[in-house]
Amino acid sequence: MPKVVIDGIEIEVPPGTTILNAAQRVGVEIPVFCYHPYLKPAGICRMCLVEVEGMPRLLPACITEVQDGWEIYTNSDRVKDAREWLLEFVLVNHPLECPICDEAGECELQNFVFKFGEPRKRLYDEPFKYPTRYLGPLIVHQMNRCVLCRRCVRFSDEAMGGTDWGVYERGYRTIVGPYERDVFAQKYTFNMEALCPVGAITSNIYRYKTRIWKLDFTNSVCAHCEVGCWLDLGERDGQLLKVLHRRGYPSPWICDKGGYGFEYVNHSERITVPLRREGNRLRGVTTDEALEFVAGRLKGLVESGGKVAALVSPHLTCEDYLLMGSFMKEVVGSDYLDYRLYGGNTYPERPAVDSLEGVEKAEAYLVVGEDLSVHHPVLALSVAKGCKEGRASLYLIVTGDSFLFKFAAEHANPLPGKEEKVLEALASVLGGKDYASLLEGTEVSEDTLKAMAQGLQEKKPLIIGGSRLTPEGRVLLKGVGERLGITPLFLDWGSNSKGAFQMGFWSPGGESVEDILNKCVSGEIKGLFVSSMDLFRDYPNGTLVKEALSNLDFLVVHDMFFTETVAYSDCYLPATSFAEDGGTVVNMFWEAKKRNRAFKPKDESMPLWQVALGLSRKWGRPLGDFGTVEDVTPLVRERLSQVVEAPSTLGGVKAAHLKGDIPALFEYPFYRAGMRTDFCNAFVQLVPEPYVTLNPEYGDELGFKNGDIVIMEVDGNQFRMKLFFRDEVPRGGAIVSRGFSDFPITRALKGLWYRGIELRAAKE
Amino acid sequence: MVGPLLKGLRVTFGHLFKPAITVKYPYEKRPVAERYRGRHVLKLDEDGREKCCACGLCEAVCPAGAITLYGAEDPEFKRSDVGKIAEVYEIDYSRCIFCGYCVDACPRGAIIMTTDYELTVPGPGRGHLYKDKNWLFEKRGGE
Amino acid sequence: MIVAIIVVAVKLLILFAVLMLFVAYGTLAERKVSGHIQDRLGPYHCGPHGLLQPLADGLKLFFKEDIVAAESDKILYYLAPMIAIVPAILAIGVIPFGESITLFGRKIDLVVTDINVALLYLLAVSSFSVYAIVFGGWSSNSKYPLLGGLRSAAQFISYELILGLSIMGVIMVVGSFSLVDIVHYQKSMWMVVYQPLAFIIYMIAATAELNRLPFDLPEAESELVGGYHTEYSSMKFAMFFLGEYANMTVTSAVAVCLFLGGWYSPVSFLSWIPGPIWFVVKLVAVFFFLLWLRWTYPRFRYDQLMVFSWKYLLPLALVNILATGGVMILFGGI
Repeated sequence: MPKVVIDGIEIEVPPGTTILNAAQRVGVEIPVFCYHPYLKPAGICRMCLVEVEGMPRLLPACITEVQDGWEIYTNSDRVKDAREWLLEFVLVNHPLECPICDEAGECELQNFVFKFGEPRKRLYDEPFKYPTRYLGPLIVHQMNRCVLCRRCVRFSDEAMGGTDWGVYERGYRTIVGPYERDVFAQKYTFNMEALCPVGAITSNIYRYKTRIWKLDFTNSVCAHCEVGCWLDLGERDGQLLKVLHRRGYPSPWICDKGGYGFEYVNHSERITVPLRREGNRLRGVTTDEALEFVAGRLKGLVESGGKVAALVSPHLTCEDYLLMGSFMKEVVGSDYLDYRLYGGNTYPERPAVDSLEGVEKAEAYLVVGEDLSVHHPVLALSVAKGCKEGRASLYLIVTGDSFLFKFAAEHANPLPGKEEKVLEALASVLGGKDYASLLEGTEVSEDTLKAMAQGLQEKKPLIIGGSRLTPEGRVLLKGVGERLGITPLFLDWGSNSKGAFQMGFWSPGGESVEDILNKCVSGEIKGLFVSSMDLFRDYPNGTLVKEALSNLDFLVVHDMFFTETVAYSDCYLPATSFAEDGGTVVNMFWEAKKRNRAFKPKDESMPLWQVALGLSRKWGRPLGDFGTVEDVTPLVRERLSQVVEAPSTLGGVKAAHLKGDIPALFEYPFYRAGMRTDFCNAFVQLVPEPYVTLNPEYGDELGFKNGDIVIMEVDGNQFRMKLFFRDEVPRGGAIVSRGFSDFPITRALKGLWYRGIELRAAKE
Repeated sequence: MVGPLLKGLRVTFGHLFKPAITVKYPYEKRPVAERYRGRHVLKLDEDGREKCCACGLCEAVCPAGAITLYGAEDPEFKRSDVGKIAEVYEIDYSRCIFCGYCVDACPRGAIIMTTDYELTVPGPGRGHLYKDKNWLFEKRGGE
Repeated sequence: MIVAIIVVAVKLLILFAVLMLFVAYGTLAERKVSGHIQDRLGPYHCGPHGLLQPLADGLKLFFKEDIVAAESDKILYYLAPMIAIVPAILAIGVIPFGESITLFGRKIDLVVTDINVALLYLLAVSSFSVYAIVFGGWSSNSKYPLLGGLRSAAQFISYELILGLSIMGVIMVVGSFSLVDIVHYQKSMWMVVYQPLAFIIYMIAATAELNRLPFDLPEAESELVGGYHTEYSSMKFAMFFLGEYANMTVTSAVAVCLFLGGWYSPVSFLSWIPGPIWFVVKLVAVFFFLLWLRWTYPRFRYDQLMVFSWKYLLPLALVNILATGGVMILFGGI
C-alpha cells in the first residue's frame, strides 16, 4: 500500500489510486473541470495540476496514480500560479455574461475564478465568438462558454454508446456538439446538461426563467417509470421550474423524462377547480359540493343495486392506493378496482436482483418484450454499461428496440406479436426440442437463436421480462429462467405498479381492466371512478373505452387536464401532480421510497387519498382521521411488509388480433411514454404527432419513401400520418407510435398492442 | 391671575397674523435633494431596448424581498442587446424600504432611483402598490 | 292674519337660513382660526381658500356609514341628536336683530316674536341641550360616552345656575325680560358698561354651557375619545355638530343683545349703517372671541371646573346682583 503525504497529511491508499482520489480522502480540495466520478478520467483540462516533490513538472491529479513516498503539494506557489494562468487562458474567450447565463450560481468556472483566479484580464482583444445553437426544445448549446472538458462527449461515448455529439476542429476553433443533427434529443440528453461544469449546455425549458438561487429544492422520486430515480425539484412561487439529480442514485444518470418531463405541473391548461355536469356543460363548483355530489350519486347507485368500479393510474403513491382501495372495498363495497390501465393482465412479481448495481454486475442479459430505453430508460443504461465495457453480453428478443440493439450480442427482432413465439423457440432450444416450426413467420433466423442459447448457457444471465409480456409469456420466460437457474426480473407499466399491487388495489376476483370495461358495457357496473389517466390515450382499446364510458350512469374523473375521458364525465375533481404531494412509491426492485411535497397543491387540487377521505366522510363512514400524507404512511409501511398473493391471470386475452397486411406494434415514442407527457410542451414539440415507422428495405419494397404521408387502415378506421424509415423496425412489420391524447390511435387496438394494419399512400 | 390669561390671548391673536409656514403641497413642492432615493425606473438604452438582463442580483440583494423577477429569452435581440429580458419585473412598494441596494447591485445600470416620491395609490388594499414592469419603465416626475 | 303668518314664516326662513350659514361657516372659521393661530393655513383645497369646505364636509358626513351601536338604547340613541339641534333653532325665535321697519305699509318687527319673558324662554330652551348630551352618553352604552354624559350633567347644573344669575343684573337694570326692551335700553350706552362683571361671568358660563374649551370636559378628546358622541357617526354626528355651532351662534346673539347694544351702532356717526348689519358684525366678533378662547386656553381639570363654578363664579354673580341692587336702591336706578 503506497503511503503519500498530501499537504502535510499522511495517508495510505490502495495501489492505483489517483492523486485526486487520495486528496479527496483527506479532504483536500483540488479544482477539476474534466474529472467526473462516474466518467473515466481523461486529464484534459489541466485544472487539477499539483506539485509532487522531486518532479520537474506539475502533474494532473485526476490521472496520475500515486507512488509510495510521494509528497504532494496542492497549494504551493507553483500550483497557484498554474491555476491562475489556466483560468486566465480559459477566460480569454469566455464571455463575461454571468448575469445572463443560466449556470451562474452553480457554475464551476465561476466558483474557481472566485477561489483561485485573479481578477484581471490581460488580453484586450475581441473574444472569438460562436453562434448559439438551439438544439431542439431540450437543450441550447453555447460554444462561447465551453471550457473543453469534454464531459458531454465522454458521457455520450461511454454511457450512451456513441451519438453524433463530438469534438470537431482544433485549437481555439474547437467546436463541441452534434455534427449533423439540428435537434438533439437522445433520451439521456439531460445528463449532458447536468454534466456541463459551465453554461455551455443549458436547458431550453428552464432557459432564462429564473436564477438557481431562487429555487427551493425538494427531494422527490420521479413519477414516470418504475426505476424511481431520486430527483430534486426546484420550485419557486408554486411552479416547478427545474429538476436536478443531485443524489446520483440509483444511477448517476437519469433520462429526459425525469429531467425534462415536468412541464405539465405548471401547464396553463391545467384545471384546478372541481367541475360538475349540468346538461351539456361542466360547471365549476366548490370541492365540498363536488364531493357531496359524488358521494351522494355513488351511494344512490350502490343502494339501487348497481356496481361501482375504480380505475386508477399506476403512477400514484401507495397512500393513494391504500385509502382509495379502502374506500372502494370497505365503504362502497365494490370488488372492481384496478390500476393496470396501460392494458396487460399481469401482476408484479418479486425480482431476483435488488438494485441497479445488481443489474450492472450481471455477466449476460436476456431482455424480452420491451424496449427498455423507452419504459425503463435508466435500467437500459445500466444494462448497456456492462456490455459497452465488454464485461457482459446482451441478448435481445425485442421488436423494434431503439437503443440496446447497439450493444446486443444477438438481437432477435421478431415481427410484432411474435416475441413470445421466439421465446417459446428459445425455451425449446434450451430444452433440446425442435424449434424450427416455432420460428416460422417471425423473421428471426435459427442461427441467431442458436447463438443466443449458447451464450445464455455459457454465462449466467439476468433475465428481464418486459411489460409487453402476457401471463403466458411470463410463464415461458420463467421456464427459460428455471432451465438456467435464474428468477427473471419482470417489469411493469407505470411508476408504482408494485405499490398498487401491494396495497391490494386490484379486483379480488382477478378481473382485468378489460373485464371491468366489459362489465360497464353490459350495464353491471353503473358508476366508475377514474383517476389521473386518460383511458383514451393509454388503454389499448379506444372503442371499448368509448362504449364503456358512454354506457355508464355516473363517471367521476380525477385528473389534472381536460382529457377526452373527462369529456365523458359527470364530475371532474382536480388532481395534484407528483410535486404537490408526498407519499411512498415502490420501485422495480420493491424498494419503498418517500416522495416529498415540493409546494402546496394549486387551488382546489387534491391528491387521490384526500379525495377518498373526503368521499368517505360525505358517505358517512369516514376512513379515519388523516391530516397529512405522513399520517397514512405508517399504514402503508405495514402493508408493504405483508406478503400479497396475486390471482392467476392465465388464459386471458391472446395475441390473436393480427389481421391485415402488416403486423404492427403500437409503441410509445420515448418522449411520449410516461405520465402526462403529452402536456409537456418540449416533448410535444419533439413528437408532435403520431407516425408509422418501417424498415427501409421493406418500405422500398412497398413503394414508400421516407417522410411520406400514408393512410393506415384498421377495421375500416383510417388514420392519416407520416411514415418514417428506421433501421430497428423488423422487416415485414411496422411500428406505430401511440401516447397521444389528442389523436385517437387507441381505436385501432383491441386490448393488446399488436394489430394488423393496412398501409397505403395518401392521395393529395 | 387675569394677566397671564390676557397675555395668552395676546399671543394667540398675534399668531393669527403671522405668515403660515405651511407648504401648499399639491400646488407647490419643496425642492428634493439631488440624491434622494425615490421610485425606481428601469432604463432603456439608446436603441430603446431594455437594459435589464434579468440577472436577479437586485432580487437577491433586496433586504425587504420587494423585487420579483422572472426572465425570458429574446432570441431576436429586439428588446435586449444580450437576448435576455425580464419577463416579470415587479416591485412591491408596500415592502420596498428605498435602500438603493438594487441600484448598487445592478451590473448594467438598468435600474436607477429617481427623486419622484409621489407613490400614493388610490383605493383600499395594497394591490396598487405592486408595480409591474410597464409602470417601472414609465418616465414621470424627476426622471 | 294670513299676511301675518306669511311674514312670520318668511322671517323664520331667513333666520333659519342665516343660522345654518353661520353654523356652516362657523365650522370653517373654527378651522381657519385654529390654523392661523398655529401658523398653519387651515382648509385650503376646496374652493378658493377652502371656502367650499363646509359643503364638502356636509357631503362627506351625509355619505358616511351610519353605525348604530348594537347594545345601545335605540330610542334615546336616535332622540339625542335631534334634541341637540332643536333648542338652538327654537331660541332664534326671540332674538331681535333690528329696529322695526315699514314695508308695503306694514310695520314689521325684526324679531320673530317679541314675548315679554324672552329671557326666561331662552334659559328654559337652552337647558334642553343638556338632555341631548346626557341621552347620547347614556344610550350609547359605552364607557366614554357615559363618562361624558355624567360630566356634562354636573357641569350644566353648575353653569346654568351661574348663567341665570349673571343675567339677573341686566334684568334688574332694565326691568324687563323682553330682549327687545333690553336692546332698546342700550340705545345710548351698552349694558357691558353698567354690568362688566355680569358680562364676564356670562361669557364664562356661556362657554361652559357650549362645552367649548376650556370647559369641554364632556367631549374631552384626549381622555374620552369623543365624549358623548363617541358612538355616533354620519348624519347623527353631524346633528350634534350642527347643534354645537347653532348654540354658539345663539349664545353669541344673546350676548350681543344683552351686553353689546344689539343692533345699535356703537358710535353715532356710524348709525347710518342698518341695524342688522351691526348686529351681525357684533355677533361675528363674539363668535370669534369664542374661537379665540378655544385655541388659547388648555382644558380645565374636572375638580377645577367645579371649584371654579361654585367657589368663585357663584359668589361673584351673587355679589354682582347685590351690588346692582345696592346701587339701584342708593341712587334710585341707573
